[in-house]
Amino acid sequence: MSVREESDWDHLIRGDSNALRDLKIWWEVRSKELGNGDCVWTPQDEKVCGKTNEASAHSEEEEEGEGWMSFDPDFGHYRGADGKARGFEPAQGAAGANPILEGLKWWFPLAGGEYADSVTGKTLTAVNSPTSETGPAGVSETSMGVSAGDSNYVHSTDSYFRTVAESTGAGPETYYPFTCTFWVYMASGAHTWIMGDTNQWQCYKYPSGGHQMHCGVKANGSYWRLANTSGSGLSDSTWYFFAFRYYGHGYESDGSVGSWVNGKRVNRVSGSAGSGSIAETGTQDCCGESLQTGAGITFGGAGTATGRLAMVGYWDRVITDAEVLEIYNTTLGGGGYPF
Amino acid sequence: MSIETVKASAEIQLEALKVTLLPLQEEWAESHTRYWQGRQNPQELPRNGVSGTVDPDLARRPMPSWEDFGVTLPDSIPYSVRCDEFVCEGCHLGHDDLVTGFFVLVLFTWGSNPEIRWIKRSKYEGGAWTDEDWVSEQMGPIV
Repeated sequence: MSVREESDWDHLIRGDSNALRDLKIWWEVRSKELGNGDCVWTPQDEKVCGKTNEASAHSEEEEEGEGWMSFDPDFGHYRGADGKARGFEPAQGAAGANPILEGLKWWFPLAGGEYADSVTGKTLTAVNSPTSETGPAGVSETSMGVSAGDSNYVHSTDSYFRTVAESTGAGPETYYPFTCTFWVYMASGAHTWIMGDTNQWQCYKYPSGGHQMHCGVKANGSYWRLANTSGSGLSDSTWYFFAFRYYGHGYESDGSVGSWVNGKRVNRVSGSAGSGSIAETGTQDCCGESLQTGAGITFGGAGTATGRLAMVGYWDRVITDAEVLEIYNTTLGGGGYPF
Repeated sequence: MSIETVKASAEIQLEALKVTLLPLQEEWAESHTRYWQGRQNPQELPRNGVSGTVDPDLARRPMPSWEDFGVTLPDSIPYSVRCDEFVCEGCHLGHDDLVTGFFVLVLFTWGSNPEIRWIKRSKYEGGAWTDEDWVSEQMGPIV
């Protein structure tokens, strides 16, 4: 594999997001004995490497060829045409990578009828056959469609969140911030859309007062406390991009320490690709709930949602307004992960 | 009717459905590779012990309805029944195995502000049943 444009490597090393996304790489594969430390990806997505203390590995199953490789946002990898060659994952969250990737714990494109997490590779379980629909950028099969009547959704019981030891506590020192961003296209009625942490936090549409997006967390495992998009008059069958930011137990929404104050913000971004503007549509600073931890996530409620969902991301930090806008502009422009 | 009465009645129905559905599902899976999906019936969850009317023709087309699949339900019940099919492809890192199975559920709502949805389900996977306890979820309105 060789790179034609050396200057692109400079951008890549510095973590320039556009360079990461737009970079094209020339690949060449020739059958050969692999030396120590040499690695290749086979067409079956297996990594074959030469080993130090063993007879050298041989890439017999690697298909010879050459061509341009570009970044495939659906897979989070560089790939050649028809998946003929597979390259590397751009760095995620590491120093030098795009800062927006810091703290990104999972990212589900929900495209093509697949429910894989671009960050971890884990796959969600599909219940009652969710459909594959046109997404927010107008591209077919780039979102997941669900219907309450069909009781379909996707979920996982894998651990996607911090452990109890990392997040419990009784005072303001407890700090468990997170951000969840997502695209949603809703039909009428009240539906749960995203449930996290064994239903310890969720975002869902509520039909009163103009359709509202409610995002909140459970107060001590009992009633919900949340920021509502009151009066925002969300329309049916329209794509919306939301960011739910929870500032952590004991913290106000400006990040300052408060006494049993828990900042929550729901933001909605609108506008054309590249010129989105962010609005604060739901706020709450109250209640002192202590976010409990658990495992598992559910998209599309558990048989209670009708509409579509796409590109759901989760960070274990509060991302900035600028980052929210970057996600919006990137995904609406047809891009995906990473940004 | 108390909530405990509704739960007890639903549990009896759940056990009966497990017995009825298993041979039907195994036969269906042989020819379809996946399991049949039974839509929530009654569609609107019964609330506070008030029975809802069962629609024997309710179906997720092209799959057959409850009745056509071979399941006879009571005319009215104070809870809903559902049969969810699940598929998980490559759920476990490094494996491409296809995991399939199905849930049988009984569910109803109780109370108001907040309204609570109660669910009990049994999971069939890998030739064995796993019975889960009742779980509750707040359905809203949220305060």
